[in-house]
Amino acid sequence: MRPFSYLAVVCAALFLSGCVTQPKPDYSTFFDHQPRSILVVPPANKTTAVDAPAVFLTTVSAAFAERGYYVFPVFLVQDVLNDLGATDEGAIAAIPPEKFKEVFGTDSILYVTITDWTTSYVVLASHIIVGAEYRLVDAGTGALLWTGKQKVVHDSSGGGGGGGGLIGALVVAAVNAAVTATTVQYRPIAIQANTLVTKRSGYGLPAGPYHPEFQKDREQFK
Amino acid sequence: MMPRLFTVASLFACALGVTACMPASQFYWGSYEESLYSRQQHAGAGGEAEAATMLLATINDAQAANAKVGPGIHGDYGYLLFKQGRVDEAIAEMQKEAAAYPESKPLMDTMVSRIQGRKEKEKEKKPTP
Repeated sequence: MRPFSYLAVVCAALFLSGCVTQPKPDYSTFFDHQPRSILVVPPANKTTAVDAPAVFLTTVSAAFAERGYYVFPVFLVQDVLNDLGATDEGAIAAIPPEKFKEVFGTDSILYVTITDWTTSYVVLASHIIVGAEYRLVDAGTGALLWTGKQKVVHDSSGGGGGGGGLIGALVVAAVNAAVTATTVQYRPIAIQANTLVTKRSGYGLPAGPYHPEFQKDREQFK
Repeated sequence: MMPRLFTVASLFACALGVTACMPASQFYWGSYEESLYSRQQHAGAGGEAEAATMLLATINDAQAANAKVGPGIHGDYGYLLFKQGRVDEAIAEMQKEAAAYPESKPLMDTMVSRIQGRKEKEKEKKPTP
């Protein structure tokens, strides 16, 4: 049942994103500095879940690369940053963008701040919430190229199953609670958030050089 | 009955939505991100060895499917090999990364020259009898 409910969340978000009215972002700076590569630095954390940044870092690469960009191996980057003494979010934020260009040869830097990483329990089910804010910065000039914000709420009761009235439902709730207590359950939600935020028409990341739509999707982003 | 009908209907709607909105994958990912997660969960040599096995399988599967592995996979595999002391294989993987993705060349060149530098030093330390 679980894959179905993930799909349902993705679909709901896809359909809803069509209805939300927000001022369209300006992509002129982005296109002036069209990056080919993205360096994802270890995320900053606004939540109380201490392991959230480390887990989140394992969910970013494919989502952003699938938009057509070279994404540097995240753990190699993290280790090089550690060697340079940048071991926490404050130290990473203090590194000037040009330094990333010098050390890694990257065109842009992706800064992620995790805003939500929680499981809330309601009577018979639980919601897993993952939220993040994204800033893509030009490594050459420090210019802000793109920002994104995404929150995904996964409703564990959506899968159905169990049956058998209240007892069945209680068993399902107990099982779900046990399962969601592990961090594994956050990863698919984080991957969804990363995929949604990059793909959203008119708001996401324009196609990069490894994407067939590269330089053909400008109509969406202006 | 109702929930099942709803599931089927929503699945159908989803299938439509998904095929309409999601283009085919650009790259072969295999278990790249799972390998990152396994390293994150099991820090140290054990987790790294497990991750290296996953990445090697990913690279082989991509080759068999005639697909291009995603950015970072050869580089990351090379880095793990380096940590295991398999320097020549490490260098070969990093060169593959640079060849497949020129954006990575500056970093891969830096890594390769560091690895070679360390190799030279180790040779000096232990002269072959």
